Parts: sequence; structure tokens; C-alpha cells
Amino acid sequence: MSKSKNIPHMPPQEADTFAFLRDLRFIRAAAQIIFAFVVVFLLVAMWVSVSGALQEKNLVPGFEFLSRRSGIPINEAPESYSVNSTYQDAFLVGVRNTLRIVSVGLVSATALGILLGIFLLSSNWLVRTISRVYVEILRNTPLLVQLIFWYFVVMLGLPENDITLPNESVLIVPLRYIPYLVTIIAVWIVTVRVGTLPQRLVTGAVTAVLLLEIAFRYMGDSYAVIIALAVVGAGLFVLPRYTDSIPEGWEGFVMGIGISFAAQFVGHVILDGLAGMGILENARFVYGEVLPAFYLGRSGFVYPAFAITVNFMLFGIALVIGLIVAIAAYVYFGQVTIRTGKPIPRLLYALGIILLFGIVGWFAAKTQGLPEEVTIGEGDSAQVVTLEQARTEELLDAEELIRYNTAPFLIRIPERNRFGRVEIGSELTPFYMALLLGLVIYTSAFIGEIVRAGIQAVPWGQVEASRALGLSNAQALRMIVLPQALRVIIPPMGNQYLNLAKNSSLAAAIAYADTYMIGTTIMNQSGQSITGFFLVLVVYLTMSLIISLVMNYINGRFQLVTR
Amino acid sequence: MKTRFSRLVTLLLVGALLIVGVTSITAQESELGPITQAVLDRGSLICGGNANVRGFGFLNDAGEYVGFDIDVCRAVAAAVLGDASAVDVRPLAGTERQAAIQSGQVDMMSRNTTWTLSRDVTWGAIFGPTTFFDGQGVGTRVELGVNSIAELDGSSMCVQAGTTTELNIGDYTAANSIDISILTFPDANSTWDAYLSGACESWTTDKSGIASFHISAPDPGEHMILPETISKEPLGPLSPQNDPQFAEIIAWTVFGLINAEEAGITSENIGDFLPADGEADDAYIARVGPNVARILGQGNNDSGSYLGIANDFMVNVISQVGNYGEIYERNLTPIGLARAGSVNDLWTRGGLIYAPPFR
Ligand SMILES: N[C@@H](CCC(=O)N[C@@H](CS)C(=O)NCC(=O)O)C(=O)O
Repeated sequence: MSKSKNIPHMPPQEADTFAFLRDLRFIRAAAQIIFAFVVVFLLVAMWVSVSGALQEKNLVPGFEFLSRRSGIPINEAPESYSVNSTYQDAFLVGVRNTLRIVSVGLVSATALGILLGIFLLSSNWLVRTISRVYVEILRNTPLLVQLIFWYFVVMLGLPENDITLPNESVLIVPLRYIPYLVTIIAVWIVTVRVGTLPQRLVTGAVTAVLLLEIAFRYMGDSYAVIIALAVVGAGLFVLPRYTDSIPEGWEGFVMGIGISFAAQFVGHVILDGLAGMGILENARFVYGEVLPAFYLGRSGFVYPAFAITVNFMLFGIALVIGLIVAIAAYVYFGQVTIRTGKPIPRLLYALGIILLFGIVGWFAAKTQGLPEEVTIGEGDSAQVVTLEQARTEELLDAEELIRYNTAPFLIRIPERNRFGRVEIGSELTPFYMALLLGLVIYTSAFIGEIVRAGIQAVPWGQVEASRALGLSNAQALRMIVLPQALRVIIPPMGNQYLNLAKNSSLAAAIAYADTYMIGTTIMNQSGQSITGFFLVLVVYLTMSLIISLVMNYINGRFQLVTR
Repeated sequence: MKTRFSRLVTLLLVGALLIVGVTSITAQESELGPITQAVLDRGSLICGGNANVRGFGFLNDAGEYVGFDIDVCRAVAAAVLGDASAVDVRPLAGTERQAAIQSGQVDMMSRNTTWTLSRDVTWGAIFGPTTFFDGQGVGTRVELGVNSIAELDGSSMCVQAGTTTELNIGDYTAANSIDISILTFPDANSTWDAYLSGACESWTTDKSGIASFHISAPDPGEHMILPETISKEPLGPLSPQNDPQFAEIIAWTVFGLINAEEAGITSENIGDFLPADGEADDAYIARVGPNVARILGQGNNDSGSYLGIANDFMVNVISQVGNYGEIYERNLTPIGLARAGSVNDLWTRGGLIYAPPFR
């Protein structure tokens, strides 16, 4: 017990009897206990009054109803969910959907926010002003309004999705763009070799692409044409070495055209290779008709589905082993570099190893063949038939049929039915897209400001010092400024993450089946409002606490270690 | 001394009698249920309604709530307060209904709400008589060339959350193995907007509701209602279960509307069914018949007094709001819901609209 040293004239005997009343530790503890009592009392009083009132109305809150059939249809749910699932299943679907949006949202909002923070400080007037306007508009309009805009104006404003031309979709990436990808890579490699940026080479390549686009519309793209192109392309590519007839400086242009032509062949070979391996099971590669592989339209963002077949096992094992070996190699070569000082392209090696194991695994799986017999139905009605019979008598539905394929996995190009709904392929629904866009873009505005403030908090001398060391602007930002700025950035960032997680509950306005939306539907259809609210609260509380804990941990790691 | 004493006794007795009399009057008044009493004290009826469904509950350009369901609220206000305009409508979205009834936030609700077992129990509500017999249907675009729900296989359908509708369509598609993706929206307007802007190929709700929204489409001819009726949707008023007496008032107001139509009493001709100045009861009853006299609480018959409200409450109701048929004509005929020969015709004409007698 601390003697009051600074009040020496106080009579000592008084201090002995009631001294503990003045002890700060006692006062604190007592205050805590009293507070705890008040809180518990209030909670109990609330519980008694609420349950009393509900009892009067024959409505006893409980959890039993959770195991009853819900009958609630949910469009954004895994295959296993149906209207015959329980309330509990329905609620878990909601939790899953909340996690899907919050996890992706946090990462994307952070990335976009950091970029924005850097733009806000850009020395380029246009970039700086545009990002400033962006931030101000987003910060000062209600999120709900923005979400409704993203869904009803943007997503539903996208064109209808016809598979045939003319396809008005905003973003389509058809398979036939593979050759162009090859073109880009080839041009890149050549320019790196040459060492400068040969504008004419790029111009030539692009011109050729445009010419090809038009030519294919009229000629079709039979292999004869493709091979002819490859030959002509290769010829054009090497031509400048053998002749001087090309006007001075135009060699690059000719080479560019050559690259584009040849790339058509390589692209086709890659695609037909994949198709031949049975991986691209429903792909078509036709000019004049667009069969999009990636697609953003009214039905959301559509992308090829990845389907696992009965032969996946061996391939999977090979891949996992490959991954382990690759990591080991990566670590090993890293150490070699440290020991010898010799730079080794270890990432390339690691990727090569994975690819190698993948190919070996693929062939191993492919040679397995297919099971002779399959089981149809479940439980008592199950019956074993040959695969042949199952196929001819159509005992298996389309989904099951594709599982019986010798290739270990399939990439299935999206196909839509006459209503424009995706039948084959994967999709991010327009609700998910709208909510994600809304949340990410809204939160990024706040994060951008935090990042800007954090960067400005780093003394200018640090930047000058790094320049003096010969670091480039980007290097200075990445290695000197951002690490120091993080100390200022992380604490307020936690708040933004919490906001994003809680704001995701506005999903109901745009028909995204998140925890809150399904929670209210459950309350409505079961009449169990108290339990329903309790469950919803628990989910958001847990999520917030986890975010807080993680942020506190990260914050602890990044603060200056002072001793 | 003696006289003085007896006087005192008489005085005390009279006083006691008075007190007893007064208390007994208050006792009779306090027999009114808590909601009825609250409505009388407040001088207005708080009625949970709809703002967006043309014909049933709709906030018009003049800022007034109009519609079939709203007229039921007005009829109850006329019955209890004698003034059909003393209604304070609170628009409720599908998901807000349960809380509104459970918490007693509204005195009653008349908002195309389906009477179901679970709602009857878990909402803590007393459902009044069904005022409109409906069934769930599906609305779609004519251009799709679809003639049944089964042909919508592979499409998506918009529906409103917190309704019987969303459960019915889930059951229907599952039972018939039709693959329709069901998109749930929070209220009628966003459901309808989503359908109009192409988020879904079709939408579903009570057939009356579909009709009501289709006529508000930019081009109503582009939309159609598929023939299937996939559920029973008996729509009617309801009130919190803590006041059964008030629930009786709602029930008998609705029965009064139906009986009045049956008896041919309308807001126009009701004067002819009331006793003329100085007309004797015998003569009056001989003229209009005992049934009409009972409905209107005239000719020394008990009517509203059974319910603790004005004996002639139906006179106010009919003169201010009209009978069932008039309410139907006024609100639902304009949105294209023909009554003749439908289930909502009077039982005497083969429909289901039937009410127990005023006796
Ligand atoms: N009868 C069904 C559906 C009633 C219902 O909510 N209908 C919609 C569509 S017609 C509606 O009235 N919505 C009005 C609103 O949300 O403002 C029920 O009781 O659940």
C-alpha cells in the first residue's frame, strides 16, 4: 500500500484504516467490478423482460428451429444447398458469401488504396487531380447509393449476352486472342534482345494483327492458311538479314509483321495442343464467331470452368510433389546465390520444375483409362452399369458425364443457354461483382487518403538521402518510404477494414445473399427474430474481432522496437 | 335527529349508488381492448399498408394512399371512429410486417398479406376474414415466347424477400425439377425494376400483384402472366393478438361490407335504407326487412353495441367507404382484375366471398 509521500503531514493512524480507499489500484478494481455488475444486471433485466414479453405471445426464442427445413431458395449457394436444406445450412451459406466478399474486398481495397495514395502525391498534375476528384466524390456519397448505382446502372446496363456476332459485350476475351498473347511475348523478347524500343517493330506487329483480323473474317482460318502465314512470317522475320532491298529503317516494321504472322501458328498449335490433350473439351477456335473465354456482361463476370475428372488423383499427386521439389530448389538456389554471389534465375527453375512434374503427372493420369463400371443412384436404389451403357442410355447427367474423361482435368469454355444464363463455365454473379466493386472502390478512397498521409509523414530527407544513394524514385518509394510510412498507415487501416466488413451487410439492397440478408429472411420466415439477430450479431462481431486482432498483431510487428 | 340520520343514510346510499354506477360505466368502457382504446384516444387508426402496389395500396401523386387494402383500413376507422379519413397509413416492406405486428407498431395491417399457419402463430397475429382470394403466378415477357413455367427452365426469376412467394417458388421449382435461379430483392419496387432492366426473364408474386405492376410498365403489352397458379394466397387484414376485441371489430367490419353488398346497400342508396324522420320501427322494418335493419343497427336492433362501438357503425362505413362490391369496382377493376365469375365474386354468384349473418 503506497504511503502518501507527498502529503507528509497527514496523520498516520487514519491512513492505516481507510488507506485502501485512496489506493488507485483498489479504486480501479472496484470500479471494474461495479461496472461488471451493472452490465450483467442490465443484460439480465433485458433478457427477463424480452423473454417475458415473448412468452406472453407464445414466442419462445430458441435454437431448435435451426435444424428444420427452411424452404428458402438462394441463388448464390453451393451445389449442396437446396430448398430442402435447414435454416442452419441457409445461414451458413450467408456466412460463406459474406466471407467471399470481405476477404477479396479487403485485399483489393488495400491494393487499390495504396495505388491511389501514391497517385494522390504524384508530381503529374493530371494524375494528382484525377485521383483527388475520385477520392472526394467517393468519400462524399453514401455507399448504399453507390451500390445501387453499380448494380442497377452499371451491371444491368451492360449489354445482353449473345454468343454470336455482333457481340456487344463490354469485355470479351475470346480464345483466338491466344495468338496475340504469343505476339506480345515475342515482340517483348525481341525488343529486350535489341535493347531499345524499336517503334517500327511494334507498329509492324500491330498492323499485322489488324490486317489478320480483317482477312480472317473473309478467308476463314484453315490450317493451310495458318501454315502459309507461318512460313511467310518466318520469312519476313529473317528477310532483313539477307537483303538490302528494304528501305533504310523499315526492317523493324517487316520483322514486326513477321512476328505477328508466325505467332498465329504458334497460338494455334498451343490451342490445338490443349484441345488434343483433351483439356479444352468444348473449345472452338473460329474466326468470325466469338466464343468468349472471359466475359463481362449482364450475367456477371464469366470465365472458363475448371473441372476435375475421375483421373485427377495421379496428376494432383505429381503436382504436389512438383511443388515441394520446386520450393526446395528455390530455397536451395537462394542459398547458393548467397554463398557464391552468382545470380541464378531460381524462380524460372522452380516454375520449370512444376511444369515438368505437371506434364509427367498428366501423362501418367491419362494412361489410366476409364473405369469399366459406374454406380448410378445412391443408397438402396444404387445400381452398377458399364460406362458404355450409362453413356448410351443417358443415365448420367451432363455434369457427371464430364467426370468420366481420361484427361485429369478439363478447362471448359463458358456456354450460355437461350436465356443468356451460364450453363457451362464459372461466373461471378452481377450481385457479387456490384457489391465487390462498390465496397472496394468506396473503401479505397479512404485507404488512399491514409496512405497519402502516411507517405507524407515520412521526412523528406529520407527521399533525398535515397536519391543521393542513387535509388530510382520507384526504388526509394518501395524500399525507403513505404516501410516507414507503414507505421503511420496501419493503425487507421484497421478501421477501414472493419468498415468494409460491416458495410458488406448492405448487400441485401442488391440481392446478394450475405449473412445479413439471409439472416433477415430466416427471421421473417421462421418468426425467430431474437435468435436470428443474435446469430447475425455473433457473425459480424467475430469477424470484427478477428480483423482487430490481426491488425493489432501486424501493428505490433511494424512499430519501432524501442528499448 | 332520526330524520336527519335517515337523510344522511339516504344521501350516502345515493352517493354509493352513483359511485357504483360511474364505476360500472368505466368498467364497461374498459372492456374495450387496448388497441380499440388506443385508437379512440388517439383519434386515428395506424394501419400497416402498401405504397407501391397499384389497386391494393398505392401512394398516388396527390400524396394519398389509395387502394383495396387501404379501403379496408378506412372502413375500420369509420367503424371505430366514425371517420374513414382518420387513417394513418404506414407503408411496410415484406420483411417489415412481422416486426410491425409483433411490436404493436401498427393497430392493424391490410397489405396483401397471405394468411398462413406459421404467420398466424409466430407473428402473434389474429388474421381477419380473407378479403381477396389470390394465387401466386409468374409474369414474363411476351417476346420470350414462353407458355408455361416449365419452359422457363434455365432462366432466372426475380422475387421479393420475406414473402410466401419466395418459399412457394422454391418449392415449386424443386418439386418439378425446373432449374430456375431465383434472385431475391428487398422490396416490390426493386424486384420490379430488376425484372424490367433484364436481371431476370420473369418475376413472381400474387397474380393480383403482377397485374398491378404490369399495367405500370412502359408498355404493358410486352408482359404477360403465365397460366399456372402455384399456390393459395388468401389475402386479408390482421391485427396484434393482444386485442381479440379489436380483431372482432375488423372481422365484422369486413363481414358488414360483404353483407351490405349482398343486401344491395351501397354508399349511394344507403339513405333509402335508413328510417325516415319519425318513421316507426315496425313500419321501417316492414319497409327494408329485418336483415338490413340489423346490418345498419336500426329499428331497435343490436349491432355495433355487441362490439363496444357505435351501434350503427355500418352506416358510417358504407356511406363513407361503400360496400365490398363498390370497393372492388373502385380499385381492382381499373387494374384489369375482372370480378364477374372469379373466385372473388359473391357466393350467390358462384364466388367465395361469403360472410356470416348479422344476428
Ligand atoms: N402475399 C404474399 C406477398 C405479398 C407481397 O409482399 N407482395 C409484394 C409484391 S405485389 C408487395 O406487396 N410489395 C410491396 C412493397 O414491398 O412495397 C405474402 O403475404 O407474403
